[in-house]
This record gives sequence, structure tokens and C-alpha cells, in this order.
Amino acid sequence: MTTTSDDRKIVTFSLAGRMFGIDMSSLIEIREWDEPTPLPRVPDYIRGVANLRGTVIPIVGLAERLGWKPSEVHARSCVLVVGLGARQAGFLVDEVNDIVAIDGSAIQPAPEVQIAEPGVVAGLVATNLRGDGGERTTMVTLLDLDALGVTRQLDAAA
Amino acid sequence: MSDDLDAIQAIFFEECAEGLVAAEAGLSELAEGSRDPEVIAAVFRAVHSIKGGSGAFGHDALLGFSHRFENVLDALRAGRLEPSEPLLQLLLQSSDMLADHVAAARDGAAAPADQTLAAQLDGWLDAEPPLAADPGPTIEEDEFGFAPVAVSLDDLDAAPSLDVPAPWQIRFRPSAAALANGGEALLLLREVERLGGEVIACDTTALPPLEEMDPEGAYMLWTLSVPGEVAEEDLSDCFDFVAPDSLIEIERTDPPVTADVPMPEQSPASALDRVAPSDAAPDATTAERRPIERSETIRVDLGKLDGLLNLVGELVIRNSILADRLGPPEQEKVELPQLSRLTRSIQDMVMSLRAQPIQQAFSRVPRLLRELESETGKKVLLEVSGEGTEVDKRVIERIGDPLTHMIRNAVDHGIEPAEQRLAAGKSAAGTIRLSAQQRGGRIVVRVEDDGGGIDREAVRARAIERGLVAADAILSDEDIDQLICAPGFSTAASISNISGRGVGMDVVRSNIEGLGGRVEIASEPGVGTSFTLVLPLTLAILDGMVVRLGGQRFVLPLQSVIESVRPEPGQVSAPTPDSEVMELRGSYLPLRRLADFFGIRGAEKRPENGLVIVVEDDSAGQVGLFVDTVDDRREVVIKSLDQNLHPIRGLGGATVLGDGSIALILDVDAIVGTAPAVRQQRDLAA
Amino acid sequence: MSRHILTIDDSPSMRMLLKASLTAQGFTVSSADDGAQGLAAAKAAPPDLIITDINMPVMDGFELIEAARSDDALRLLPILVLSTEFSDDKKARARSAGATGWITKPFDADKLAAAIRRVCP
Repeated sequence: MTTTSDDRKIVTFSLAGRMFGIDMSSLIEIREWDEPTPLPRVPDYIRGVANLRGTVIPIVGLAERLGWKPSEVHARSCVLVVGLGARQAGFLVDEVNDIVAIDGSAIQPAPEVQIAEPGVVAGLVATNLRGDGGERTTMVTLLDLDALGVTRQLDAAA
Repeated sequence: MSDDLDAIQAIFFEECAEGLVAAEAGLSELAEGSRDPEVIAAVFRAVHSIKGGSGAFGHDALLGFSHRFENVLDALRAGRLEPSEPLLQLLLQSSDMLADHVAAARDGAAAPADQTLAAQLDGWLDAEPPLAADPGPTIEEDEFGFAPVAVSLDDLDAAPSLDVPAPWQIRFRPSAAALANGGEALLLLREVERLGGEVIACDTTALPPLEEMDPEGAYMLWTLSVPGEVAEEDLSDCFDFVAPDSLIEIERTDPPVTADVPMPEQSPASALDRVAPSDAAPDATTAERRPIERSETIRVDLGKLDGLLNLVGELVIRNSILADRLGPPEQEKVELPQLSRLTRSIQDMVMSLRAQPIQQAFSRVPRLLRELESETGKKVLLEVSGEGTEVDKRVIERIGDPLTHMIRNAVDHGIEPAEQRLAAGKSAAGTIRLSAQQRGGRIVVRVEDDGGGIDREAVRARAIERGLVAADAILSDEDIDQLICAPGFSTAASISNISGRGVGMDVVRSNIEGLGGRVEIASEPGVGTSFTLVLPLTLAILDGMVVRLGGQRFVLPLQSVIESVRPEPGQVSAPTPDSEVMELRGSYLPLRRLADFFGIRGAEKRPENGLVIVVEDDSAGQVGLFVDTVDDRREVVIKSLDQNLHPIRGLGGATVLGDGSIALILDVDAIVGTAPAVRQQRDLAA
Repeated sequence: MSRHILTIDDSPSMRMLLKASLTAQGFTVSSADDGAQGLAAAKAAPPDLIITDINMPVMDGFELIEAARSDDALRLLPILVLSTEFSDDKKARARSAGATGWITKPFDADKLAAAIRRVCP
């Protein structure tokens, strides 16, 4: 079987009613939701810190970070633990959908879709996803989590 | 097999790196006035080692340059050259060039152009002949000495046969000395046989009777014949080393060589006399050797150390869990305290494996200042403190470039030209203070200068020009200082001379943040500027006191704690609306409510229902911290918060408690620090 | 049983190179970082041959050879010098210290083997 030159694997998940995806290569693990230890003096979207096998990582409410109202936690809520360069962080999402392979060349740019900072939206791609009633083609918004700049110095005011 | 060679060569390049550091350090010491012969010897050995390996691995350009370098160093250590200022400057430049050569050899790049330096090095050795392009030894052509023996071989003048080269005839008698050196004549004879020769005679006339014989004496003279096709150098190789002490002749003779070779006219006794071991007085090697401090070292993969460190951390946590689950009597029974002590010892030792004195990163600075002085004409004095502070090896690797950049900045922009300084009442020479210290789980490295301070107007103007801030933005002094580190602030035009890499302060800051640290800037116009790098220790174990605020657990480093007090009603009072003090044994302690500081809800409000922990801080003196309760005292493993998040004022990290939950570690300095203004770093990119 | 060679050189990469070359030739190789260690190792377990560098800290090659020669167990042990130097006076010095032979670096495997054959049965 020949593989196309730009095969990519993405993890798709739903957040605030929309379908998003991130590159699989940055995914470290998917965790069940567990209330993190709250941190003082941080922006609201940082819900706290958690212990990832000995390393302390921030748990970010992705919905808040993108400027929407905070996700409600329910049974299927998950935390996507990703590696951003040398750093790691966990992002709370509503539900993880699937891991799918896409063709890199099928990604369309989405300049009009602005969420949070520029660069966060890496593109749009149509792919077949399982949903209620079987598979259907869905538009997935690809996110570049690194561009969210969670890690830049943002000392909250006292 | 070539994989092995690659691995060995990789190790060689690591050795080169160490050797280069040692050489530069030694030369710097000499430049500062040291005349310690051991220092010179160490520099020589470092370059000598690099030369040796470069030949073995076939790096000709490196070999050539290091050979010249080594020759001058040899002359220096032998006293043939004086360590004058111009010579030492040349040697420092040469060590730079050597580093470039090593890098080129390692990366397979073109060798640097070293003709000028090479010629200068040669110039210092004008007593010695100029070096050939290939300084490779030509041992095979060495002349060997031999004791002349009167031989009559008339056929020597006969024209050799043109078809087959005339065979060699070898006469060989090893001296007692050669044999005393562990040599065995038999082995040499066998070697000749291996080349195709054969022993055709052995003269034993010199052998004394058995009872008089010295078993280590040399009495036998062999004659061998070797086919003419064998190269002379192969034969001389065989005997080369023993030659000066022994009787050896290698000559062509006419075929056929009969079995009866006329023995030379000489009595064995006189032959022995003639080849009496030379008594060339050896150089005094019994001179006292000054004891040199040299640590035995072993190479360890940093990744393995990382793994080991993590395991130790887990071990400490396991200890904690045990302590949690067992009550005191059971703890005694299983000898838990001993286990904890053992764990602590292991941790200390593993920590020390990765820790190196930060001196390694500081060592480049003196020479950098020399270069900067010749570039800018500004003389700068250097004060260094805390160079013995141990930091993680990775920190040393990554702090080098930022340090270099900050020092350059300080000299280029900070220190004023001499006339300006004098006019301002300062000394003509500027001073840079470089310091390092360990403070409660962090390493603090500071570069301070006594220059003119940051020109805030200029910085602000440029930031506006670059679109980093709006023209009417209101910025505090600290905001402006931090602008220096904003991406896009410095451009290629303003960066002087950093090998064209365009390193600006923004790269410095991201380097430091990548290590989990932060950059603090302080400056006073006319007085000076300081850049402070705050870096986390990779893994540290802290003796801490677990306290509770609003149900959440925090850890207070024990080293700061003096005592804890439950206030009586009335002991705490508020002299002004926003400050509180506690009376303690006649004096008044400023009080800080930690819950307020961190904005934690649900904490204890009434002083007499909580506890005041008295802490001592360098700058603020004694301060009281108000908490709900104190849980216990325990050793915790410091986990960095900065690494994956960002520095949070007042927190010095986090730790995982025995039950797996996270407790935040308090940074006492930041909490009690008298500077009330919180630095704000807005994201200025948008 | 293969013969045992003790190599002494302060450069780890050189020790490794030597070890690779000698092991390929069927020898058992042990090594030391400097003359003092080498001397101690040789006294503790005398090898069949010592190959040593000259320029080393703590105790250099010349001193090592002299020390070995004044020790009864090592007096007649073959010692080869392996060094980048090649001057006559260095060699003379080695000779009078008691070296059995000399090879110059960089060496090739054949020359090394031949040099060993000449001094080690």
C-alpha cells in the first residue's frame, strides 16, 4: 500500500459544540478529568496543576483560553496532555472523538477564522468521523496549541 | 567496526572540548600573572593530547596547527621562551584558533585559515627549523646508531647484481642494557625470520662457563641473512630501539652468502666494552613533583543521570508515603528514619553528579572582556563571586551564550567611555560584577555594571518605532526595562558583532525561560544596570513545613523558619489600615496574611485561630506569615513550576505529597520582599 | 589464554583506540589513566606487556618506566612507549629509563603488531 507523502495523524475532539483537531505528534496522553490543584495568581483559564508522572503540568481550560465560557465537566470530559517544545501542558476538552489520518495537502487555510491569537488556527480539513448515525464528513478546525502562548510570561496582577 | 571508531572519535572530540577549556583557563591564569610551572605543563598536555588524537583520526589541518602550537608551548615549559605579554596574547588567540580547528574537524567543515597565526607561532621558534607541512613523524627513516666494528667485507665494492638485490647480512649482539630493558634477543631474531631471514651463525665464543655466567648478561653474537627484497627500513625498524646500546650492522653483501661468514677481528671482551651501555645521564626525573589535584573522572550519559535523578525523586516520595501511612511507633519498628537518611544520602550524591561549579560558564568572561576592550577601547574590571556555586550541567551548557550577550551589552551600551565616566566622577575603568548563588531551590546569576544605566527614553522611543507599544501607552520603569527583551526590539543593525547570529535579548530571555527560569532587570540612570537570571535547580530536596491555607496545602522551606507562634488575642494589631504587626518579646514583627497574598478563599481570619510562622529573610529581616494550621515537617522533592508554566510570584515550585496530591512551595523572599510593586509584563506583541 | 597488555594513556579516546586495535589482535587489554595508576595496576597484576604514553599528569611515562625497572616483579617486563614524539633525545631518555621499545603515534595496526612481537613473546 502506498502512503501519500504527507500523511498526518490528528486527534479530534469536541469543544463548545465544534470539532477540533491537533497533531498527534504533540500528544503525550489522554487523561480522565481529575480536579487539579488550584494555583493562585494565575489567569482564570489555568485551572490548576496536576502531577504527570512526577512532573507538574498546568491544566488549561481550553474553552476559556479560546475566549468562550468555561467547559462544564462531565463524565466524558478529558484532558489532552501535549508537549509544546520542551514544555508540557494539559488541555480540558469536552470529549475526545478519534484519531484519524489525514492528507496534509487536504488542509485548507482558514484566515477568516480567528480564535484567540493569530496562528492558533492551523487550518481546516474535511474528514470522515464517526458520529451518531455512523460516519460522516465533518469539518475539523486544526489548532496549533503552541501558538496559544500559555507559556509566555504572563504574571497576573496581584 | 567503523561504528566503534565513530564512537571513539566522538569521545575524542569531547576530550578536545575539555582540553580546550583547560588550555584557555591555564593561559588566562598565565596572562593574569601566574608563573606556576604546573599551569604551563597542564596547557601543554591539553594541546598535546589534542594533537595526538588528531593524528590518529586523520585530521590533518588540526594536527598541523596543534603541532605548531604544541612546539611553542614546549619551548615555554622548557624555559626556552619567556611568558611575555605578547606571547601569551598569541597563545590565547591560538587556543581560539585551535577551538575553531577542532570544530571544523568535528563538523567536517573546511579548516579555518590559520596562516597568520601559524606564521606568528613559527616566528617565536626561530631557533628551531620551520615545520614541514606534514609534521608526521618519519620514524622509519631514523638513523640508528651503532658501535662501529672493523669489518672486512671486500665484496662491498663489487657491483651489485641488477636482477636481484643483494641479500642483507646482519650482525647482531644485544647489550646487557638492552636485555635489561626487558628485551629478548630471541624475539628480534624471530621477527627477522618473519621477514624472510635466517640465522646463519651464532658466535658463542664470549660465553663464560656456566658457573660464571650472569643470566642477564649478553654474550651471543648472531649473524643473519635476509633476502635482498626486504626493505632496509623494515630491518632497521626491528632493531631501531635497541640499536644505540647494541652491536648491529645491516649491510648488503654479494650473493652467495656462505654459511661461514668470517668473524670480525675483535675479541668478545672488547666488543662488550665497546657496547657498554651508554651512561647518558638521564634528565633529572627525580625532581619533586608538586602534588596536582586531579580528579578521576568517568563519562556518563546525561540522559542516564536524568533517569537516575527521577528515580531518586520517586524514592523520596515513596518514603513520604510510608511516613504518611505508618504511625510513629511503626515507623520506628521498620526503621524508617534510617531509610530516610539513606535516601537523602543517595539523593545528595546523585545531585552532585550533575552539579558542576558555574565557574565553567564564567571562565570565558575574562577573555571576552579582553576582546571587548580591544574592540571598544573601554577598560573594564571584572569581579566574580560565587563561581564555586554548583549548578546542573545543562544550565552551564545553556547559560554560556546568554552570559556572553549580557556582558557584551554591558560593555557596549552600559559602560560609558572613559572621559564620560571621569566627567561624572566615576573611575575611568568600568566594573562588571558577575555573581552566582543558590537561594532556596533557585540559582541566581547576576551581571551588574556600574555604567550609565538604561536610557529609558531611548528604549521607549525605539519600542514605539518598532510598533511594540502604542505611542501613548503608559509604562512603568520596569515595563520599559523589559521591553529590551521583547521580540523585535533589537535588530541586526544594533547587534554588534555576535558572529552574525542576531542574538538579541529576546533570545537570551527565551533561552533562560527554556531552562525554566526568568530574567529580571534593574537599572538606575547614572549608576548602573543589573541583569539577574533566576534558574531552578533541576531537582532538589527541600526540608519543608507543610501548612494549610483554606484547606489547601503549601510547603514552607524550613531553612527560613525561625519559629511558629499561636497569637494570643491582642498580640496582633494594625498600625495602619493595610498593615499588621505582631508583638513578639518586646518587638513588633510585620505580619503577612498568606491567604490574602495568594487570594485564597476560606482561610482562617482570626489570628488566634491560626498560626504565625516567623521567618527570616535577608532583606526584610524577620516577618510573620499567617497560616491556618501546620501539618508536619517533611522532606519534599521540588518540582519546577517554571518549566511547564511560568514563574508565579511567591511560589518557588511545587511538590508531590505522599498521597499523590500537589502542594505548592512558597518563595519566602518574594512574599516578604519589601518591593510592593508587582512587575507587570504584558504581552506586548499584539 | 591470551596475553594481557596494560595500556597507560591519559587520553580516553586513545585508550579506546588502542584497546580496539589490540583486542582485535587477540590480546586482553586493561588500561590506566596515568603513570601512577599504571604502576599500581602493574604491581597488582603484572601484565605480559605495558604500552605507555609519555606525557601524562601525576607520573609521566619516563618516571613510570624507571619505577617499574626498580621493582623486582616488573624489572624484566617488556615496556613499549607509544608517543607522538619522535626525537632522538626523547628516545634516548626512554631507553636509559629502561624502555624496551618505542612506537610513534599515529600508529597503524601492522606496525603496532610488529612492535609488540619484537618485545613480547
